[in-house]
Amino acid sequence: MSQWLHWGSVGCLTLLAACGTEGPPEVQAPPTLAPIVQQRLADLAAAPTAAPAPTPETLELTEGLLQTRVHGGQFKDMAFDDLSAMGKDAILPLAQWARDTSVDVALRQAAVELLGVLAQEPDGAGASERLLGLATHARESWLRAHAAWRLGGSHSDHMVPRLVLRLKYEGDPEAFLWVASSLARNGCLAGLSGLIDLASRADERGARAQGEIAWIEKELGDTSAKLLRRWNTSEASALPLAPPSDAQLFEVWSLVKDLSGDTFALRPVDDARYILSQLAPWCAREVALALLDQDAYVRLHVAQVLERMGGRARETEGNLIRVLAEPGVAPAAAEALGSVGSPACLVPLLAASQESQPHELRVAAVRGLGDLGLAEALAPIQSMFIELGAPGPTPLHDLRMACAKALVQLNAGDDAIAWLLVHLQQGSSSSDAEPLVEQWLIGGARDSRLGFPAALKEWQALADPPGSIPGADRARRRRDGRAEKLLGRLDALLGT
Amino acid sequence: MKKLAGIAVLATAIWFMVELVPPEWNPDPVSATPAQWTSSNQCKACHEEAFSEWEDSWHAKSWIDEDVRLQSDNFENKVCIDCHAPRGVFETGVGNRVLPRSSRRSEGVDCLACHLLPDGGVAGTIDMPSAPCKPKATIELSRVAFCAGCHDQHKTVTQWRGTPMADTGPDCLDCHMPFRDGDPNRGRHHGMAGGHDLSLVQSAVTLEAIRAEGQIEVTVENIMGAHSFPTDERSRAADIFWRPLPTDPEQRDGWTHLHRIRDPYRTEVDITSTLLHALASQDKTGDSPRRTIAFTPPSGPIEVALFYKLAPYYRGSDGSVWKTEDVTDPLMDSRLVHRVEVP
Repeated sequence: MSQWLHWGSVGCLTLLAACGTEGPPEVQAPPTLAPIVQQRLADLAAAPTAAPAPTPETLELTEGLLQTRVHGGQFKDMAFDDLSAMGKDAILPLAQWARDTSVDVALRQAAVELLGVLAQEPDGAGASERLLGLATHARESWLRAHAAWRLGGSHSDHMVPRLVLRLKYEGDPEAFLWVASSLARNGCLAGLSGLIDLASRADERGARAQGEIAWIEKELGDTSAKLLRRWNTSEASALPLAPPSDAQLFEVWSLVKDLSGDTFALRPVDDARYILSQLAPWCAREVALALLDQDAYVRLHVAQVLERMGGRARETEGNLIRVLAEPGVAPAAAEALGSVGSPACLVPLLAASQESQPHELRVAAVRGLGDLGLAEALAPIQSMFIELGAPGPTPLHDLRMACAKALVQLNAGDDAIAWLLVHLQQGSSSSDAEPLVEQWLIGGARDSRLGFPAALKEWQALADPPGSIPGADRARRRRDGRAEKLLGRLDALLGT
Repeated sequence: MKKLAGIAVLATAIWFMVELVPPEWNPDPVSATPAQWTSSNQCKACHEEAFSEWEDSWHAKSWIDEDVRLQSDNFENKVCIDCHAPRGVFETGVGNRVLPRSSRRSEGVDCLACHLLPDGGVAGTIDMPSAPCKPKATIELSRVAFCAGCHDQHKTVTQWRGTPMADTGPDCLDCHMPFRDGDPNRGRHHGMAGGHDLSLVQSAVTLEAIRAEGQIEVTVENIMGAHSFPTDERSRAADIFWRPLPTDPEQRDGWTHLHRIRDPYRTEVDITSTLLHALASQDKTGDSPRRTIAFTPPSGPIEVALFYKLAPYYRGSDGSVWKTEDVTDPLMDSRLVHRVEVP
């Protein structure tokens, strides 16, 4: 029954839209903008990470105690207690010894161990900060790994966003393991899929990863596979993850500030987008407020962050729908709605794809409808795909390509395949068409459609060898070859 | 029957309004005024020459080029979209960071990216209200800052600003968008010559090699010096190779790699930047635009050559990837810039 109602509503919307194009639709006022980022940063406070500068005496004392801790036999524990008792005075000397490549590794490891102990204190943000510096910037991978491991016991979650960035760049598997583990112990499962990969290894590292996964499963009460699935969907909101401290929120809003037009370089912007998109659902709710910030760059990039969060950002769909009225951010919001993915996004996206809307928004809305994957979008997209085949005053090729992609995603690629094969042989759009044709073949083979497994095999046989990098000529030959083979089979595949 | 059908449609419509549309949803969210200029293809009819130049340019291929596709993971690395399919520079503001488009991406860095004004009008070099696009003279089009939104992401414009040329010229357009046939009356060439233009690369850098105290000293210099060599794209590289002078001038292999000039990606933490810096570089390293590399080859005449690469890797015609140090035929995937013989 509900399906029929959905269809009815979509039909009504299409009918209303089709009938309502006689005059220009009423222009709606865009939402009110405000200095949201500035206000949130003013409301929050950074973690108190300052530590007293080391004097020559404290440096000497620390080294002596570290030496005793490493080599002192029965006095080891006493040295440990004395170093712990130094509290904040020990933080910078310990960090300095940990980085010092001229002293032996055991002493440096002891320094990291002590920083880890200090980081567990209620006021341990300063020690966490130094461990974070080592985990993210030390040149030696063992040091990054040890520092990340110790961060797992830290009580200062302000380091989570910057530790997330390490996931993007960490090339050493051992360091990656402990970064991922520490993040999980601080309410962020961004490294869980990597941990699962590492756990499949039949070596000591695999065993360590399995141990960390066991801890995560026990804490969160589910298997790692299910946790990973939940983390990547709207179910992430139900995971028993610790809420962020104000210090972590301050870090998050500092990253949102990095998205602004005041930041010229794209790299820090992309890093900020990456970090924010990897955090827990609370981050989506928080940064969605910035969709109404007065900085156009912030609004757009926050929509991109929510798109990348996918289902984890589902609670923000209301925020995204509201900003469809703001032309600068509307296309990014439309794509985000498709990724965030609830049935409530269907009607706004269908409306945004109507002919009366700006081309940029229509393309994004159709992409969003494809990503949303609801069958109710099929008929309107099929109609649009057909209508766009007629000659028009301006080229709307990319809109038709977005429709073709959506049709493939909605398991209706048969409608678009002949057009896609034409474009597979045309330079300007062949690289867009090729993955769609492949997706169509994979879908048909998965559904055991007649002739598809063989056609897919033939298609894949023309792929470039693994590890090779095709030049333009080779890529063209590959696409031409694939198009030629598939055209020969097309009638049979379509049953025509 | 018709009445019943009408009631059913009405009821469904009311249900739709009440149940499906969230309370905050605005059913007509965006101004519906269609923009007049929505694709660069609209420019072709009147601006055939400029369009044709652009169509052959790498600006036009910024979305579809195979190497870009590969290095951006088919634009899954979305940070690349901002410059490879940018919104209009005038929309985001001259000198500001650019933002990505959602549509027309296959047109790359197109006519509209540079010429479309925020009010929907068109920027040009002269006012011409009688033309269909009614261009407005807009001096910012020729400013260095105009290119900076994209091309200063890797500090190319900043490098230029640190040279004496910032006061005296040449600037971006002088080298990369010169007047057609050198004639200002013919307007500027829209091909935007850069690293793909071998003659431009050849004019930017020199290569010398001499025998000194049993060694060969190879010197390469960024003589144009307006920015580092190579610049902008970290995917670019230049390699110096040497080989014993072959008896057959048609012989392609036999080369040995000597030195690579390149800026690494952020992830390549074990690689040091070896760019040849701009003249009067403000770079903190103090690196000079000139570099000498010495090595000791076997006795006998040799030749040394500089090759320019549009991608950092070497690949054979079958797509197979070669380690740089294993390459003996650099021309498999690079272009010869300069070659010198050392007796």
